[in-house]
Amino acid sequence: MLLLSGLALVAQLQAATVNVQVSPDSAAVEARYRFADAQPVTFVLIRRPHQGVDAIEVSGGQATTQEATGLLRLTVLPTDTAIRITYMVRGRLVRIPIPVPDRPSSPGLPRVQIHIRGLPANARLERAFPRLTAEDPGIAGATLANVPSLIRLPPLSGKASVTQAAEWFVVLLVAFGSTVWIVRTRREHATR
Amino acid sequence: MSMTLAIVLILYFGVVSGIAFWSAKHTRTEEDFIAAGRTIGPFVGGAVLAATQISAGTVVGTLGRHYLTGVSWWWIWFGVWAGWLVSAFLVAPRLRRFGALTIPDYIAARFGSENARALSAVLIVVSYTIYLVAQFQASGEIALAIFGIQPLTAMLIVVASTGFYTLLGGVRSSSYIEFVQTLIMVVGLAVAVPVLLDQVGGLAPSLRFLDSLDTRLLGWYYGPKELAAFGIAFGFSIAAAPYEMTRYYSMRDEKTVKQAIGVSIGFQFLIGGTVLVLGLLTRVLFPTLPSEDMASSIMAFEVLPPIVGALLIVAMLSAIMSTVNSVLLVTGAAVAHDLYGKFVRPDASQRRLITVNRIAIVALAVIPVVFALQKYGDVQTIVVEQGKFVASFFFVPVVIGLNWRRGTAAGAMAAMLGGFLAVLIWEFTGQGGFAQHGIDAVEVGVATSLVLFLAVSRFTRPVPQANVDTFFGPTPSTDGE
Repeated sequence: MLLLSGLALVAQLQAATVNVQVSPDSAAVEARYRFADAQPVTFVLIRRPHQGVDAIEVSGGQATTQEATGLLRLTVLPTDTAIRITYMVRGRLVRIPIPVPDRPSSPGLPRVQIHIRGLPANARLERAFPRLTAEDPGIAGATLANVPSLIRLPPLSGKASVTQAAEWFVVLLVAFGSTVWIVRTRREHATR
Repeated sequence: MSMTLAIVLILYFGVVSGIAFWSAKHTRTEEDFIAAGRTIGPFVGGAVLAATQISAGTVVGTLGRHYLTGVSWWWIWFGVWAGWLVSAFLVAPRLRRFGALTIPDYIAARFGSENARALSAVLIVVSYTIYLVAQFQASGEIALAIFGIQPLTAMLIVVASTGFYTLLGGVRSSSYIEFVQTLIMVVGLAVAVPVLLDQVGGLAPSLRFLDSLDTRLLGWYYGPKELAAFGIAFGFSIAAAPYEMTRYYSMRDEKTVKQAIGVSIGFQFLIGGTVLVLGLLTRVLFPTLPSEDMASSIMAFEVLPPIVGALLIVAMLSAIMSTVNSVLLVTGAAVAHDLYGKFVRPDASQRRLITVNRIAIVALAVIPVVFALQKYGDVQTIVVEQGKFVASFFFVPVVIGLNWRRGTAAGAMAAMLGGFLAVLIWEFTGQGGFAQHGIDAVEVGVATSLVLFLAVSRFTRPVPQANVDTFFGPTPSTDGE
């Protein structure tokens, strides 16, 4: 029988915390991970156009990096169950890459915390990814079950976004569809 | 999101309940219950066929399979559509013209054998119980990923809510509810694509990332032989799928059936394309999920805006419910109409048959829950395995049986039993797997079934001429065929 092994059956990431400090021309990222054991782990970091990632430092193990088109691989031989990775992101800062370990977290449990500092007061948090909630002035956060590959910072402008357009499209379509349905049903009843 | 999801869910189940009660008022006979009084038109019928096909296996399983393995899985759709075309041209018109209520009805009439009817009814119940396992498992995955509730609770909720509208109105209520479900699914998935593309920052960087993550994602994760076997499993099982054929019976006439199949393929093309893109983009956003079956729920809950996400979650639950509903109608009818009504109490009243049908539906809904909790494989794998069984025992008696006069009752029974056992033995005695032979169980099963049908039919008593004439006879066709 052709059964797939799936991505991984043993959940090994116990918790992760990502702190991002945003400034006008760069973002400083600190990502902390805690695993169930000290086995080797590989992180992938998505690479974005017009964006550079430098000053990568890993503590909690010996790290090797491997650059590929579209991503950076960080393989860590840990000395402990906790690993900390820090780096700077420069250039276009709309999306901030986050290192994703090759070990998943337990299903259904919120184990990944994200905190972003240095956001302008008029940032539209609902348009960020992941969905952010305000924690303090200039600070927003999110809690997820899995580590995302990127954080999309909230935009400032009041322009309509794709997300907003999608919501409106769906609402209008449901209203239109319901109206058509009701009109047709009444017409069919009338003709009977 | 949770509040939005709750509101959308309440609104949706309000609509579903309304349709179910309306349908219950119009259900008086067994034909009303199993075939909606044969009143369904092409657009609603096409949406219903698509909803029946687009199960949890698609929204949860196929999206998850694209998440895990990339683009190559998309080729199996050609097998699916080939199956629909075979059904449209070689199966549906003759079956609809015959006007049976269930597939065992057809088997009994075509081969003039009540034993063949009983065997087909039993095989339907067994194989579709496997299918329900996949649906319930998917509901458990969604519940765990989104609500953090235990899979058993989610499965019981699905059983209760689906049983509710199946019991109330039979095919009539499920047809209109599935029409609504298909529209929700198409809109939800189509709207999700631009939203995800916007979140990941465009297609080109996403493809570069995926290619470096695993070169097979954009290339050939599966080889041509494997894809051919999957395509055969899907295509052959769809060409002769009992729960889809039951829906043909509920449509107005043969022309409506063909039009509905065309509409259904259109819906499936749209859904298949969006599921591919969404699976890949979810892999970009969440490269390491605990289970590929969680990709669709995570995407809906954590990436999409609240209303679109809630709509898609409702669409996924709808897909599960519509498939559970379709399967329960078929297996319930197999027990009540084909086993109880023909063998246990041939003189049973219409009222009694409907009652037995409803009791069977409840019993057949609970059994797969027990298996689903064991989690024998991912959702798509269970769907494929079930497809292999259906293809191996039904394709030959249905498709060849409808197009070859010489097929006999003994041949049909040998084909059904032989095909079923061949798959079973090939899969569970360590013979399965491409690594060893490059031959999949479905190929062995269909070949065995075909050889047995042809060989046994040649050496056994022919079917009475009256039965053959019903399907091949001089009766002039009404649509120019």
